[in-house]
Amino acid sequence: MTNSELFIEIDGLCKSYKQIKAVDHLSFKVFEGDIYGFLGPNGAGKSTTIRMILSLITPDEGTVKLFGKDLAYNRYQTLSQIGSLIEKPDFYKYLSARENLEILGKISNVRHLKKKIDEVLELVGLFDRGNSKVKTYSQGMKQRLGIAQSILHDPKLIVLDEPANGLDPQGQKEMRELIHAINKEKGITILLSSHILNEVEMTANRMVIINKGKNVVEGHVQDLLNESDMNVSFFINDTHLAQQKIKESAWIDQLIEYDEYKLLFKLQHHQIAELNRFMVNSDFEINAIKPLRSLEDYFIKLTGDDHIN
Amino acid sequence: MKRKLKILFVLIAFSFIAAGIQAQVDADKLLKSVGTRLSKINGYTVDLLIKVEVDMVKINDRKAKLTYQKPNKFKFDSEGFLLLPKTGMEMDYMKLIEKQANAIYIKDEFVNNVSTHLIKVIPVDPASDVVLAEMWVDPKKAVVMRMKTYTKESGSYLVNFYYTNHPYNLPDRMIVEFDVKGSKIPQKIAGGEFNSKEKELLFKDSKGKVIVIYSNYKVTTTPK
Amino acid sequence: MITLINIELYKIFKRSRTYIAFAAVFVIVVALQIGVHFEGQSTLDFLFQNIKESFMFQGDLVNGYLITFIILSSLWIHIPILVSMVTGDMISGEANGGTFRLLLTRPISRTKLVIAKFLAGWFYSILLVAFMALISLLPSLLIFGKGDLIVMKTTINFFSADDLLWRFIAAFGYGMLTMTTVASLSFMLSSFSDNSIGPIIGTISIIIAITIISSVGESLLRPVLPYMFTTYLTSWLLFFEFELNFTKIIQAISVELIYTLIFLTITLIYFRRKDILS
Repeated sequence: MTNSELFIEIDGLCKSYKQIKAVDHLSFKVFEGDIYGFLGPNGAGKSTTIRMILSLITPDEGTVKLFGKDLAYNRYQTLSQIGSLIEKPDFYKYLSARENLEILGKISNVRHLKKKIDEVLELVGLFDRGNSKVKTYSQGMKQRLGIAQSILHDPKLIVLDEPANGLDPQGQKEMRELIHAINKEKGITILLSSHILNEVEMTANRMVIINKGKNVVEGHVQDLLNESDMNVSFFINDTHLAQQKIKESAWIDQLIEYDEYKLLFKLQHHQIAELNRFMVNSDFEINAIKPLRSLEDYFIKLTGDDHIN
Repeated sequence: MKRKLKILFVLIAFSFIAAGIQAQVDADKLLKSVGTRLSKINGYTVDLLIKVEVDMVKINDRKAKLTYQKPNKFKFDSEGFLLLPKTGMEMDYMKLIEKQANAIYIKDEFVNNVSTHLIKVIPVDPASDVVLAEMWVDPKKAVVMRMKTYTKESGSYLVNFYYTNHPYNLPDRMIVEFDVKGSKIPQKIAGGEFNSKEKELLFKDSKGKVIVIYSNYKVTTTPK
Repeated sequence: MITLINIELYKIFKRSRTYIAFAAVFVIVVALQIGVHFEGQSTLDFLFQNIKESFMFQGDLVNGYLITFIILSSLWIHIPILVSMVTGDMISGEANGGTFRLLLTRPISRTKLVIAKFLAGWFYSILLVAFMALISLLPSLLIFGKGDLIVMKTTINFFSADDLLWRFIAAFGYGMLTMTTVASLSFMLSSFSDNSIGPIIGTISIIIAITIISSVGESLLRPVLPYMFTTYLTSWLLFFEFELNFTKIIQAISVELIYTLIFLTITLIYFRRKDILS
């Protein structure tokens, strides 16, 4: 969903460390209401970019505009409307979750702080553990507490950098659901940086892919997926017969390989249904159709880089 | 006329000689007179103001009370710390008077405008710390005006006594001058100046002076 | 700003090691009180054996004031360590713990944060010295009584008991100033570092190194010595002179204040520009 209000506008952003260019003329836009995926392999410059957006790092060149205002001159006004969770969340371990949130809430001038703390703890499922010291928390609990502190002051925008880092699949699922809930129920725009492709694919509506500090591609996730080839497995009872039928058809160019259980095709999104119809019309019984990790292939195709999960 | 003058001259000469023979002082007797005068005093209390003037020492004037009880009990009371000279505070000359010593009259001298007999006293006891003492005694009042003591361990002390017309001829001021032995104090115990690179603070040998002002005597006498 | 200072103080006093510092001061003070009580007289007798040949000592020099004086003399040895244990961690601890990512992404000025942290650390430092002053003076005077104080400098000074309390108050006050300078040094080093051990050890090393170099190379460094802040760490002794040297006192206070300001300014300039990578 793209609305008219521009929440984040990155234009020509550059940052170097000694001889290494971490971010190289990067540009992208995030609109109100987006869950915006910020993708790239490890070392692509995602964290550096995130930190520049949050004024933890000063860019060498370029501008960061938040809510239409230049961050360099409007730091106080812009940051008051942003929440963030960068990498693994670190809190004051010798304090409880509530005490940590109290400190952060006071700094952000949150009104009715105690009530707000109860709300966010409830939302992230930590209400009963609010008085426990953070050092007793598991990684998943710390991540959830990280989300809690990011929304404590009712921001319009949340920046999440690798929020599912270190979480097991169940934890990742819960994190995704939480992100969706925050976006849908509270209307908070989210910039989601990750190198976990499934996470972005299942969560984001728009995204940018970067590599070596540079833009690679930007757009709606579905549009980008539709443009890309996917590896799709068709599970069929008689794969030998099916393979012979495919050889006689125009689909032979899409067939990658086959075995006794399935045929593997390289297809575009819209071709899945077409091939399915062909198979059915050819009287083949299709047990299942499984697309493989599509965005990974898309990414590798775009960047020629396989350093991504 | 000439003969009369000669006789007159001889008479005058003889009178001088006679006076001289008569004026030969009995040192022991003189010292005893001092002791006799003091023996009438059973005890006294007196307020002291003590001023210490020594190069290496800085101390404010201190007030104290001295209580003396015959024959040789001296007690000092003070709210604070007192730095007292070793000689002079406890009628040290009395110790010499009471103990066996050889006393020799030397000459007459004026001390603080008072005519005194100078007597040298040598303690008989070889173990005594005092090697020699010189006392200038006012024969009229039987008071010691000045005393110089030479000791084995502590150098020499010079004590001057000043008297107004106290009924018992007790001093109202005493000045003690003495040698102060130098010492070395480790720097880290002392609070030396930052620019001192010496490991020890060195206090050189120097001269010291203590002034004691006596006031408000309360004397008890020996019953007759 | 008040909110930030309160938050920083809250964080300081929520940590157990803050109380370890106060406990350490307590143990050191009590140990010194016991030590001087038992060994003080024999030490004084030894030190003044020569002077005792010329003078009679009347009165007790081992009293509450002497004990407090000796405790004060130890101030510059252990208190800097205990001060820098907290102030040396105030910025580097956040970097090491990753909590700057939480703090500095909020609408908070880096300048205000640094100043708030410094003020909180400063408050802790002076509280530690005040605590030391209280547990040195009060129990010592109550248990061992008042009395005159002997202080050896270029002369041997005897201060009467009624002339001492204000001197000790001034000396401890000056001690608070010097510990403020130490706090600002460790605070500055903390801003350069991402771990806390470096600033703590760095602070103590700098103080010790400059002090040793100053005494060993004194003749070479004489022109520079009046401008080194370590030179004045023991200048609380200036309050134990019969005639106070106000020129020297003002000089000492000024140098310590100037260094404090310099260290704090460097911290501010550096931290405002620093990229937060932790």
